[in-house]
Amino acid sequence: MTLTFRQQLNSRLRQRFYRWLDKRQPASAEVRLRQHLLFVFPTAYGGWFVLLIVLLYLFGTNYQNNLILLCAYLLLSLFCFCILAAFFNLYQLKISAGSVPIGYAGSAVQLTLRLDNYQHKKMCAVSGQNFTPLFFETLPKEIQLDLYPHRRGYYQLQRFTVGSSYPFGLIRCWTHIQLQQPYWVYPEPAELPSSVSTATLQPPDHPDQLAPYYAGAPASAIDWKRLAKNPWQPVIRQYSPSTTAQHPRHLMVDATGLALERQLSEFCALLLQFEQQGQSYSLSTPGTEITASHGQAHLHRCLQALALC
Amino acid sequence: MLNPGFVYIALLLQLLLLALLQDGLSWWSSLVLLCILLFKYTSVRAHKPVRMMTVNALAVLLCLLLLSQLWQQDMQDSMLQLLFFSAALRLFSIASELRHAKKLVWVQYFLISTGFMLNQSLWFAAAVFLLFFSNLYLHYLLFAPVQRRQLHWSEFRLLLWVMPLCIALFVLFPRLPPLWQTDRQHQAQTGLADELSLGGLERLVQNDSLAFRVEFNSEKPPQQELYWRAKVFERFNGQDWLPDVLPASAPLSAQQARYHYQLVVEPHFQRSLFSLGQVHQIQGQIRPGAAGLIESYQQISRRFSYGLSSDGEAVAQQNNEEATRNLRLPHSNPQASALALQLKQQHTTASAYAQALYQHFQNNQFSYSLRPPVLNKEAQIDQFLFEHQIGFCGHYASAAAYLFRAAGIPARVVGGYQGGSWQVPGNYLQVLQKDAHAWVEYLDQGRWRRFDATAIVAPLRLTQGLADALSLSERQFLDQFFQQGMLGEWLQQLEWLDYYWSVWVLSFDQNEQRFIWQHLQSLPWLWIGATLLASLLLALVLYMLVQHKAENQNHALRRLMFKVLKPYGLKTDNQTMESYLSDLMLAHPQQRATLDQLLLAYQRFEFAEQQEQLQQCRKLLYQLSKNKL
Repeated sequence: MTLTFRQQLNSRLRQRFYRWLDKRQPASAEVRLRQHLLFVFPTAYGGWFVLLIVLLYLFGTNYQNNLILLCAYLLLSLFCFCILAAFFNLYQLKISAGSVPIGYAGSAVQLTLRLDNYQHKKMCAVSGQNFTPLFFETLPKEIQLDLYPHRRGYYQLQRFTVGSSYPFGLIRCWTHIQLQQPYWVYPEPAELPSSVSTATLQPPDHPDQLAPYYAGAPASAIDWKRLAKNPWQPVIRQYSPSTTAQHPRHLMVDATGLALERQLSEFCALLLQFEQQGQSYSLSTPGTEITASHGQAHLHRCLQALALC
Repeated sequence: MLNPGFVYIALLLQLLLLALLQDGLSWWSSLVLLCILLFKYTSVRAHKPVRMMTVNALAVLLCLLLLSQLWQQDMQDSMLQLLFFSAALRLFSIASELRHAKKLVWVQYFLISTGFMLNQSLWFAAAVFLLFFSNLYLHYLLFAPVQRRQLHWSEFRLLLWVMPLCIALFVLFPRLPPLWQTDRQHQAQTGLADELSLGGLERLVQNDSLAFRVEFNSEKPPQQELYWRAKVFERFNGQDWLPDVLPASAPLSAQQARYHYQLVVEPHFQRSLFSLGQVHQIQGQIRPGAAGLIESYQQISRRFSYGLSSDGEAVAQQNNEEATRNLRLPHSNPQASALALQLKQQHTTASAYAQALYQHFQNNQFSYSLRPPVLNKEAQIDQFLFEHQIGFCGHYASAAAYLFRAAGIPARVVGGYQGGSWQVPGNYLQVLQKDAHAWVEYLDQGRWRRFDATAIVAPLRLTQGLADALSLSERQFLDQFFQQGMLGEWLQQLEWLDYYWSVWVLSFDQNEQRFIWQHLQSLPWLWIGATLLASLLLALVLYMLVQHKAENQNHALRRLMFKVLKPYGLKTDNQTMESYLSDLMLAHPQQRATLDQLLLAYQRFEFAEQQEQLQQCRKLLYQLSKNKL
């Protein structure tokens, strides 16, 4: 009973603290760490260190031993300057949100944050609820966060912590910051059954033309049969847009419940495939209607619609 | 993960610490510690982890050993050993856990600092501080990245910033008196010994350190009256003079006194204190002792201050028992006893007898020396008085007291200090250990009169100090204790350093702190503030002038351009210089090249801040003005 009460109290306090933080530092695209954002507190070892100083002071006083007192003062002034050093280690660091990253459900999303004024900042730890904690001896220009796998959707990067107990581990300076850093998690692309792909979705095996392979050409466009015959000269199929535009593919999300997820996964895979094949496609979900088109922007619009279903 | 160098550095540190703290460790604990460190070294080299069981078993064993030794040892030494054991065992158990290493660093801080209980000399302190900073380095390694070994400039800068704050704290942070009483059980005593042999005081005369300092409120006694009484030796065993078990003292009689003075005594770990003649009033944690002496309630283990009022008069006799006690004499020196009887027959009163003794010492070519021949016979006083006739104060005092007692006049040997040197800046008297002296007091009409044969034999000893009373070779003999021969000057410098170390650092206390505060308050703050303000203002004005000048050049150029180019065409208000010049180029095609050059030069000067283009602009403008004409 007491435990639950304590847990409740803890969560209440945490909530209040986060509300207070939200007021103090509302989400923004970039955050410059200033006094009002940085918290400086002694660590547990710092507490033991203070105890050491007190003990030495008592010793020095009682035996009227000036050199022991001198040691105590030396440690005390070290402690005081550690406060400043810890603070200035993070002070003026600027963290800005990068581009909006995308990922697929079930796999990690990589998120890049840009740093400014990062020189001379040492031993910084970046941690948060939904990514693997990182530790840097010296800060790089950009840091990459590996977000833990999520369900599909549109997310904001949660409030995360940047902290450092440089240089002697006595004082920890930290900040909880909230960046305006959204990211998309699209449904996980399903394995397409081969029958579907060959019968209805694969383009006819009579491409408009064949062209020699060039670096960067999609691997799916490679004509594998010809590659097997003549592996030294890979060729790719090219389809003229006019032919596919004549038959725009239309996908409609109509499932509910568990089937919905399966359908979304399937559609995700299909959309990717269509885009790869250069077909034009349209999508309708319960909330949105996207007219037929193709291209990266269109693909992402469709995938985002799927993610939000 | 722990830095791979951590354990090795910690091992080296503890080994050095073991060597440094030998005084506080018993032989068996040193041995055990050495074994632990060596074993740890071999196991680290072999990458063999130490089992926690072994560590715990060792800890229990060592605690039991310490407990068994507890009653034979000083409390502080036991504590030091306990700390050292815990540090060594902590190191012993470390494999690669940060948690253990943190505790180790903590304990080592404590251990290194408590090393100052043993010794506080400059050299020892330097070594201890070196270890202290090594431990700080270990502390840094704990939190630094694993492969890092070097300190960076930013960390050094941090340490440099720490120093002034540390010194300021040391000087200004309030100090408290001891919270509870602590007595060191076997702290070496300094100063006068508890017995006076014939060749006593030799050790003290070779000691240049400070004994105490005196400040007189108004009148200062003459140099030859500065006999600082500290101890009275009333029992003679045929060889040495020993203090007697003395009864409680008589209370002081509050009288008008001539001299009022304040003494600051260096710690000598004894209770005896110093006074001049008969004391009338006392201030401080002291009490009157037997035989007119002054003593403190506790051992003087830190610098101690007290005040006295006395006049130069001889000490009064306290009771009859005192007289009889000071007559007891084993007649171990027949020749001396015979001389005493002979002189006593000629001079009946005590004062006349004393005069006769002075005469005797003066007429018989007695001389003063720090290197008297060794007295090897049973009857030492006879040998001194009738064979060698060379000695220093201990010899004269011992012999004279014997002669008084042999003649039936109560007499005793007094140990203390004589003279001292007046310090010009502070106007206080500084008495060193080498001013140690011994003389005799004999009872005459209820008062203990002073008899000092040294005053006859070596009168300069009293007025000018020890060094002047000696011959050149003797002085060189004395100097060798202070200069140690070949290193000469250099060591003298270091002695000076050590002296100021002890005065300014070791014995810095509330009094001096108060003094500094008062000094700070008495500084002319108004003037300092005014000067600071004035220099700030001056700096501001200079800065603004420089700024103004930099601004001016551009401004002046623009003005010059308007003036010169006016005949070519006027510039409208909202036109930029560039568009103005290009308008002019269109309007005056014959000047196009020059104007183009001017535009380029102007832009370079104004925006790329190429100062040399200013000259170019002026040249072109001059050309333009000439061309128009």
